[in-house]
Amino acid sequence: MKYQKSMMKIMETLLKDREGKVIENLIRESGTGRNSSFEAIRWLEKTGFVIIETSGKQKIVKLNLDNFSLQYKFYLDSIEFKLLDPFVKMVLKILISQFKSNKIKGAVLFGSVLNKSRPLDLDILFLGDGLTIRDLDLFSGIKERIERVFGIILNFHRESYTFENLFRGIVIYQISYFKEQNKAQRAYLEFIEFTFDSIKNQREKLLFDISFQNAILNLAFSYCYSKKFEPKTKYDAINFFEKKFKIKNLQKLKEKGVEIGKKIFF
Amino acid sequence: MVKKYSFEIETAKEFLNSAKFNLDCSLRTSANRLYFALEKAVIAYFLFMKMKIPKNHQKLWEISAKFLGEDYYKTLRELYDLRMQADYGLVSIFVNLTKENLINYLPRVEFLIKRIKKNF
Repeated sequence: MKYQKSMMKIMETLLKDREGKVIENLIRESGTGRNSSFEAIRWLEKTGFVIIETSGKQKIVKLNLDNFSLQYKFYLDSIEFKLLDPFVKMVLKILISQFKSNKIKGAVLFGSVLNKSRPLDLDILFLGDGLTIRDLDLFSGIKERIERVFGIILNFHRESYTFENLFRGIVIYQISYFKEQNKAQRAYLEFIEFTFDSIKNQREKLLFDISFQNAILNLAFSYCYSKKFEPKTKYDAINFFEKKFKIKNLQKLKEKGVEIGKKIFF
Repeated sequence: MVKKYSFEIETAKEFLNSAKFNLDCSLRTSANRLYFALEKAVIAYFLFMKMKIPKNHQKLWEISAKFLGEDYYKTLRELYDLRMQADYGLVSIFVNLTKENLINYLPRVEFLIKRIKKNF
Protein backbone atom coordinates (compact mmCIF):
# COMPACT_ATOMS: atom_id res chain seq x y z
CA MET A 1 0.00 0.00 0.00
CA LYS A 2 1.37 3.44 -0.94
CA TYR A 3 1.67 6.15 1.76
CA GLN A 4 1.12 3.51 4.43
CA LYS A 5 3.33 5.27 7.01
CA SER A 6 1.47 8.59 6.61
CA MET A 7 -1.88 6.82 6.64
CA MET A 8 -1.03 5.08 9.91
CA LYS A 9 0.12 8.29 11.58
CA ILE A 10 -2.97 10.17 10.44
CA MET A 11 -5.26 7.43 11.75
CA GLU A 12 -3.38 7.49 15.06
CA THR A 13 -3.86 11.25 15.39
CA LEU A 14 -7.55 11.04 14.56
CA LEU A 15 -8.16 8.14 16.95
CA LYS A 16 -6.33 9.92 19.77
CA ASP A 17 -8.69 12.90 19.95
CA ARG A 18 -11.63 11.63 17.91
CA GLU A 19 -12.32 15.19 16.81
CA GLY A 20 -12.55 16.45 13.29
CA LYS A 21 -9.36 18.28 12.37
CA VAL A 22 -8.59 20.94 9.81
CA ILE A 23 -6.44 19.23 7.17
CA GLU A 24 -3.40 21.47 7.79
CA ASN A 25 -3.51 20.86 11.55
CA LEU A 26 -3.95 17.15 11.07
CA ILE A 27 -0.84 16.95 8.90
CA ARG A 28 1.16 19.06 11.37
CA GLU A 29 0.06 17.01 14.39
CA SER A 30 0.76 13.76 12.59
CA GLY A 31 4.26 14.92 11.64
CA THR A 32 3.88 13.54 8.15
CA GLY A 33 5.08 14.90 4.82
CA ARG A 34 2.69 17.22 3.01
CA ASN A 35 2.38 15.45 -0.31
CA SER A 36 2.22 11.94 1.11
CA SER A 37 -0.37 13.13 3.69
CA PHE A 38 -2.70 14.48 1.05
CA GLU A 39 -2.45 11.23 -0.84
CA ALA A 40 -2.99 9.21 2.33
CA ILE A 41 -6.03 11.29 3.35
CA ARG A 42 -7.50 10.88 -0.13
CA TRP A 43 -7.00 7.11 0.15
CA LEU A 44 -8.53 7.03 3.66
CA GLU A 45 -11.56 8.93 2.36
CA LYS A 46 -11.95 6.67 -0.67
CA THR A 47 -11.84 3.53 1.46
CA GLY A 48 -14.24 4.94 4.07
CA PHE A 49 -11.95 5.37 7.07
CA VAL A 50 -12.45 9.16 7.15
CA ILE A 51 -15.03 11.67 6.05
CA ILE A 52 -14.03 15.09 4.73
CA GLU A 53 -16.39 17.98 5.39
CA THR A 54 -16.12 21.54 4.17
CA SER A 55 -16.50 24.38 6.63
CA GLY A 56 -16.12 27.74 4.94
CA LYS A 57 -12.75 27.64 3.22
CA GLN A 58 -11.46 24.83 5.40
CA LYS A 59 -11.61 21.10 4.96
CA ILE A 60 -12.24 19.11 8.12
CA VAL A 61 -11.14 15.48 8.31
CA LYS A 62 -13.23 13.29 10.61
CA LEU A 63 -12.91 9.69 11.58
CA ASN A 64 -15.66 7.44 10.23
CA LEU A 65 -16.14 5.64 13.51
CA ASP A 66 -17.25 2.10 12.70
CA ASN A 67 -16.15 -1.41 13.62
CA PHE A 68 -13.34 -1.32 11.09
CA SER A 69 -11.75 1.91 12.29
CA LEU A 70 -12.21 0.50 15.80
CA GLN A 71 -9.97 -2.42 14.83
CA TYR A 72 -7.29 0.17 14.24
CA LYS A 73 -7.72 1.47 17.77
CA PHE A 74 -7.36 -2.07 19.11
CA TYR A 75 -4.14 -2.43 17.15
CA LEU A 76 -2.75 0.83 18.58
CA ASP A 77 -3.87 -0.25 22.07
CA SER A 78 -2.01 -3.51 21.77
CA ILE A 79 1.17 -1.52 21.12
CA GLU A 80 0.39 0.80 24.06
CA PHE A 81 -0.14 -2.26 26.24
CA LYS A 82 3.18 -3.76 25.25
CA LEU A 83 4.89 -0.46 26.05
CA LEU A 84 3.56 -0.38 29.63
CA ASP A 85 5.93 -0.80 32.56
CA PRO A 86 6.71 -4.56 32.91
CA PHE A 87 5.29 -4.60 36.45
CA VAL A 88 1.98 -3.08 35.32
CA LYS A 89 1.88 -5.45 32.36
CA MET A 90 2.41 -8.43 34.65
CA VAL A 91 -0.37 -7.35 37.02
CA LEU A 92 -2.80 -6.83 34.14
CA LYS A 93 -1.94 -10.11 32.45
CA ILE A 94 -2.51 -11.98 35.71
CA LEU A 95 -5.83 -10.22 36.17
CA ILE A 96 -6.94 -10.89 32.59
CA SER A 97 -6.00 -14.57 32.93
CA GLN A 98 -8.75 -14.84 35.54
CA PHE A 99 -11.55 -13.37 33.41
CA LYS A 100 -14.20 -16.07 33.19
CA SER A 101 -17.47 -14.21 32.88
CA ASN A 102 -19.06 -13.91 29.47
CA LYS A 103 -20.83 -10.78 30.65
CA ILE A 104 -17.56 -8.85 30.55
CA LYS A 105 -17.20 -7.88 26.91
CA GLY A 106 -14.17 -5.69 27.32
CA ALA A 107 -11.89 -3.99 29.81
CA VAL A 108 -10.19 -0.63 29.54
CA LEU A 109 -7.20 0.68 31.46
CA PHE A 110 -7.41 4.38 32.26
CA GLY A 111 -6.32 6.99 34.81
CA SER A 112 -2.90 7.89 36.18
CA VAL A 113 -1.20 4.76 34.82
CA LEU A 114 -1.30 6.27 31.35
CA ASN A 115 0.94 9.12 32.53
CA LYS A 116 3.08 7.40 35.15
CA SER A 117 5.25 4.39 34.54
CA ARG A 118 4.85 3.01 38.09
CA PRO A 119 1.50 4.14 39.52
CA LEU A 120 0.17 3.44 43.03
CA ASP A 121 -3.14 2.21 41.68
CA LEU A 122 -4.68 0.91 38.49
CA ASP A 123 -8.12 1.94 37.25
CA ILE A 124 -9.85 -0.70 35.21
CA LEU A 125 -13.16 -0.15 33.52
CA PHE A 126 -15.17 -3.32 32.90
CA LEU A 127 -17.54 -3.08 29.96
CA GLY A 128 -20.68 -5.12 29.49
CA ASP A 129 -24.40 -4.77 29.19
CA GLY A 130 -26.13 -4.38 32.53
CA LEU A 131 -23.08 -5.27 34.61
CA THR A 132 -23.80 -5.44 38.31
CA ILE A 133 -21.58 -5.35 41.39
CA ARG A 134 -22.21 -9.10 41.63
CA ASP A 135 -20.66 -9.60 38.16
CA LEU A 136 -17.49 -7.80 39.22
CA ASP A 137 -17.48 -9.62 42.52
CA LEU A 138 -16.22 -12.68 40.58
CA PHE A 139 -12.87 -10.89 40.45
CA SER A 140 -12.70 -9.86 44.08
CA GLY A 141 -10.55 -12.91 44.90
CA ILE A 142 -7.83 -12.22 42.35
CA LYS A 143 -8.08 -8.49 43.05
CA GLU A 144 -7.37 -9.05 46.74
CA ARG A 145 -4.48 -11.39 45.96
CA ILE A 146 -2.87 -8.95 43.53
CA GLU A 147 -3.22 -6.08 45.97
CA ARG A 148 -1.70 -7.99 48.86
CA VAL A 149 1.07 -9.76 46.99
CA PHE A 150 2.14 -6.93 44.69
CA GLY A 151 1.17 -3.92 46.80
CA ILE A 152 -0.82 -2.11 44.15
CA ILE A 153 -4.42 -0.96 44.50
CA LEU A 154 -6.89 -2.03 41.83
CA ASN A 155 -9.92 0.19 41.34
CA PHE A 156 -12.67 -1.55 39.39
CA HIS A 157 -15.41 0.33 37.58
CA ARG A 158 -18.23 -0.76 35.33
CA GLU A 159 -19.95 0.77 32.32
CA SER A 160 -21.90 -0.27 29.24
CA TYR A 161 -20.15 -1.73 26.22
CA THR A 162 -20.24 1.28 23.92
CA PHE A 163 -17.89 2.89 21.39
CA GLU A 164 -17.57 5.86 23.71
CA ASN A 165 -16.42 3.78 26.68
CA LEU A 166 -13.90 1.82 24.60
CA PHE A 167 -12.17 5.12 23.94
CA ARG A 168 -11.72 6.00 27.60
CA GLY A 169 -8.28 4.40 27.70
CA ILE A 170 -6.32 1.39 26.48
CA VAL A 171 -8.43 -1.66 25.70
CA ILE A 172 -6.68 -4.44 27.61
CA TYR A 173 -9.25 -7.20 27.15
CA GLN A 174 -11.91 -8.24 24.68
CA ILE A 175 -14.28 -11.17 24.98
CA SER A 176 -12.76 -12.66 21.82
CA TYR A 177 -9.35 -13.07 23.50
CA PHE A 178 -7.97 -16.59 23.63
CA LYS A 179 -7.08 -18.03 26.99
CA GLU A 180 -3.34 -18.44 27.14
CA GLN A 181 -1.49 -19.91 30.05
CA ASN A 182 1.76 -21.86 30.03
CA LYS A 183 3.23 -24.09 32.74
CA ALA A 184 5.37 -21.31 34.20
CA GLN A 185 2.34 -19.04 34.45
CA ARG A 186 0.20 -21.74 36.06
CA ALA A 187 2.86 -22.40 38.70
CA TYR A 188 3.16 -18.64 39.21
CA LEU A 189 -0.56 -18.39 39.99
CA GLU A 190 -0.03 -21.06 42.67
CA PHE A 191 2.83 -18.97 44.02
CA ILE A 192 0.44 -16.00 44.31
CA GLU A 193 -2.09 -18.14 46.16
CA PHE A 194 0.44 -19.38 48.74
CA THR A 195 2.07 -15.96 49.15
CA PHE A 196 -1.38 -14.54 49.82
CA ASP A 197 -1.92 -17.23 52.48
CA SER A 198 1.46 -16.38 54.03
CA ILE A 199 0.51 -12.69 54.20
CA LYS A 200 -2.82 -13.49 55.81
CA ASN A 201 -1.22 -15.83 58.35
CA GLN A 202 1.71 -13.71 59.45
CA ARG A 203 0.53 -13.92 63.04
CA GLU A 204 0.05 -17.72 62.97
CA LYS A 205 3.56 -19.24 62.80
CA LEU A 206 2.65 -22.79 61.77
CA LEU A 207 0.25 -21.75 59.01
CA PHE A 208 2.65 -19.08 57.88
CA ASP A 209 5.57 -21.52 57.58
CA ILE A 210 3.54 -24.00 55.52
CA SER A 211 2.29 -21.39 53.06
CA PHE A 212 5.66 -19.66 52.88
CA GLN A 213 7.47 -22.88 51.92
CA ASN A 214 4.79 -23.72 49.35
CA ALA A 215 5.07 -20.23 47.88
CA ILE A 216 8.83 -20.65 47.44
CA LEU A 217 8.34 -24.11 45.91
CA ASN A 218 5.81 -22.86 43.35
CA LEU A 219 7.96 -19.87 42.51
CA ALA A 220 10.87 -22.27 42.02
CA PHE A 221 8.82 -24.44 39.62
CA SER A 222 7.66 -21.37 37.76
CA TYR A 223 11.24 -20.14 37.44
CA CYS A 224 12.47 -23.57 36.25
CA TYR A 225 9.78 -23.75 33.54
CA SER A 226 10.54 -20.20 32.42
CA LYS A 227 14.17 -21.26 31.98
CA LYS A 228 13.12 -24.37 30.03
CA PHE A 229 14.30 -26.63 32.83
CA GLU A 230 11.95 -29.50 33.66
CA PRO A 231 12.48 -30.55 37.30
CA LYS A 232 11.68 -34.18 38.09
CA THR A 233 11.20 -33.57 41.79
CA LYS A 234 10.59 -30.60 44.04
CA TYR A 235 14.20 -30.87 45.21
CA ASP A 236 15.37 -30.43 41.62
CA ALA A 237 13.24 -27.31 41.37
CA ILE A 238 14.46 -25.85 44.66
CA ASN A 239 18.12 -26.61 43.88
CA PHE A 240 17.88 -24.96 40.48
CA PHE A 241 16.09 -21.96 41.98
CA GLU A 242 18.49 -21.53 44.89
CA LYS A 243 21.45 -21.24 42.57
CA LYS A 244 20.15 -17.78 41.83
CA PHE A 245 17.77 -16.81 44.66
CA LYS A 246 17.97 -17.01 48.44
CA ILE A 247 14.66 -16.18 50.10
CA LYS A 248 14.60 -15.69 53.84
CA ASN A 249 11.50 -13.61 54.46
CA LEU A 250 8.17 -12.50 53.05
CA GLN A 251 9.52 -9.21 51.74
CA LYS A 252 12.22 -10.98 49.72
CA LEU A 253 9.66 -13.50 48.50
CA LYS A 254 7.50 -10.69 47.14
CA GLU A 255 10.45 -8.89 45.56
CA LYS A 256 11.82 -11.96 43.83
CA GLY A 257 8.29 -12.94 42.87
CA VAL A 258 7.90 -9.65 41.02
CA GLU A 259 11.32 -10.03 39.39
CA ILE A 260 10.41 -13.48 38.05
CA GLY A 261 6.79 -12.59 37.27
CA LYS A 262 7.77 -9.67 35.07
CA LYS A 263 9.64 -12.10 32.82
CA ILE A 264 6.93 -14.76 32.84
CA PHE A 265 4.09 -12.36 32.01
CA PHE A 266 6.03 -10.29 29.48
CA MET B 1 4.11 19.63 73.95
CA VAL B 2 1.41 17.37 72.55
CA LYS B 3 2.89 14.11 71.35
CA LYS B 4 2.40 13.46 67.65
CA TYR B 5 0.55 10.21 68.20
CA SER B 6 -1.84 11.93 70.65
CA PHE B 7 -2.59 14.55 68.04
CA GLU B 8 -3.27 11.85 65.44
CA ILE B 9 -5.59 9.88 67.72
CA GLU B 10 -7.49 13.06 68.67
CA THR B 11 -7.86 13.82 64.97
CA ALA B 12 -9.13 10.27 64.43
CA LYS B 13 -11.84 10.83 67.07
CA GLU B 14 -12.73 14.18 65.57
CA PHE B 15 -13.05 12.62 62.11
CA LEU B 16 -15.19 9.82 63.51
CA ASN B 17 -17.57 12.37 65.05
CA SER B 18 -17.60 14.27 61.79
CA ALA B 19 -18.54 11.04 59.97
CA LYS B 20 -21.45 10.56 62.37
CA PHE B 21 -22.72 14.14 62.12
CA ASN B 22 -22.56 14.18 58.35
CA LEU B 23 -24.61 11.02 57.87
CA ASP B 24 -27.80 13.00 57.39
CA CYS B 25 -26.49 15.87 55.34
CA SER B 26 -23.60 14.49 53.25
CA LEU B 27 -22.89 10.81 52.73
CA ARG B 28 -19.79 11.71 50.74
CA THR B 29 -18.27 13.72 53.59
CA SER B 30 -19.23 11.00 56.03
CA ALA B 31 -17.51 8.27 53.94
CA ASN B 32 -14.42 10.40 53.47
CA ARG B 33 -14.09 11.19 57.20
CA LEU B 34 -14.74 7.60 58.20
CA TYR B 35 -11.81 6.32 56.14
CA PHE B 36 -9.46 8.99 57.46
CA ALA B 37 -10.64 8.43 61.04
CA LEU B 38 -9.33 4.87 60.95
CA GLU B 39 -6.25 5.78 58.93
CA LYS B 40 -5.31 8.47 61.46
CA ALA B 41 -5.75 6.02 64.33
CA VAL B 42 -3.51 3.49 62.60
CA ILE B 43 -0.90 6.20 61.97
CA ALA B 44 -1.11 7.17 65.67
CA TYR B 45 -0.34 3.57 66.59
CA PHE B 46 2.73 3.38 64.37
CA LEU B 47 3.97 6.76 65.62
CA PHE B 48 3.56 5.48 69.16
CA MET B 49 5.55 2.38 68.22
CA LYS B 50 8.17 4.68 66.66
CA MET B 51 7.74 3.03 63.29
CA LYS B 52 8.14 4.59 59.87
CA ILE B 53 4.81 5.58 58.30
CA PRO B 54 4.52 4.39 54.68
CA LYS B 55 3.49 7.05 52.21
CA ASN B 56 1.13 4.93 50.19
CA HIS B 57 -2.21 3.61 51.39
CA GLN B 58 -1.66 -0.01 50.44
CA LYS B 59 1.61 -0.27 52.37
CA LEU B 60 -0.04 1.30 55.41
CA TRP B 61 -2.87 -1.25 55.24
CA GLU B 62 -0.32 -4.04 54.87
CA ILE B 63 1.65 -3.12 57.98
CA SER B 64 -1.67 -2.67 59.81
CA ALA B 65 -2.50 -6.28 58.99
CA LYS B 66 0.90 -7.40 60.20
CA PHE B 67 0.99 -5.51 63.49
CA LEU B 68 -2.67 -4.89 64.34
CA GLY B 69 -4.53 -7.73 62.64
CA GLU B 70 -6.33 -8.62 59.42
CA ASP B 71 -9.51 -6.81 60.51
CA TYR B 72 -7.64 -3.50 60.18
CA TYR B 73 -6.61 -4.29 56.60
CA LYS B 74 -10.11 -5.42 55.67
CA THR B 75 -11.85 -2.41 57.16
CA LEU B 76 -9.38 0.12 55.75
CA ARG B 77 -9.64 -1.45 52.28
CA GLU B 78 -13.44 -1.39 52.32
CA LEU B 79 -13.58 2.16 53.68
CA TYR B 80 -11.10 3.25 51.02
CA ASP B 81 -13.49 1.90 48.43
CA LEU B 82 -16.34 3.91 49.93
CA ARG B 83 -14.10 6.97 50.02
CA MET B 84 -13.23 6.55 46.32
CA GLN B 85 -16.92 6.48 45.49
CA ALA B 86 -17.51 9.52 47.67
CA ASP B 87 -14.61 11.61 46.37
CA TYR B 88 -14.40 10.54 42.76
CA GLY B 89 -17.78 9.00 41.96
CA LEU B 90 -16.21 5.69 41.08
CA VAL B 91 -18.12 2.46 41.21
CA SER B 92 -17.03 -0.09 43.75
CA ILE B 93 -17.08 -3.83 43.83
CA PHE B 94 -17.05 -4.16 47.59
CA VAL B 95 -19.73 -1.97 49.07
CA ASN B 96 -22.15 0.57 47.79
CA LEU B 97 -22.06 4.05 49.21
CA THR B 98 -25.33 4.07 51.13
CA LYS B 99 -26.36 5.47 54.48
CA GLU B 100 -27.14 1.97 55.70
CA ASN B 101 -23.63 0.71 54.86
CA LEU B 102 -22.00 3.70 56.52
CA ILE B 103 -24.09 3.17 59.65
CA ASN B 104 -22.85 -0.42 59.77
CA TYR B 105 -19.22 0.67 59.56
CA LEU B 106 -19.42 3.29 62.32
CA PRO B 107 -19.37 0.95 65.35
CA ARG B 108 -16.65 -1.19 63.73
CA VAL B 109 -14.39 1.82 63.18
CA GLU B 110 -15.14 3.09 66.68
CA PHE B 111 -14.17 -0.30 68.10
CA LEU B 112 -10.93 -0.48 66.08
CA ILE B 113 -9.92 3.03 67.15
CA LYS B 114 -10.61 2.20 70.79
CA ARG B 115 -8.50 -0.94 70.49
CA ILE B 116 -5.59 1.15 69.26
CA LYS B 117 -6.10 3.70 72.02
CA LYS B 118 -5.74 1.00 74.66
CA ASN B 119 -2.06 0.70 73.71
CA PHE B 120 -1.24 4.28 74.74
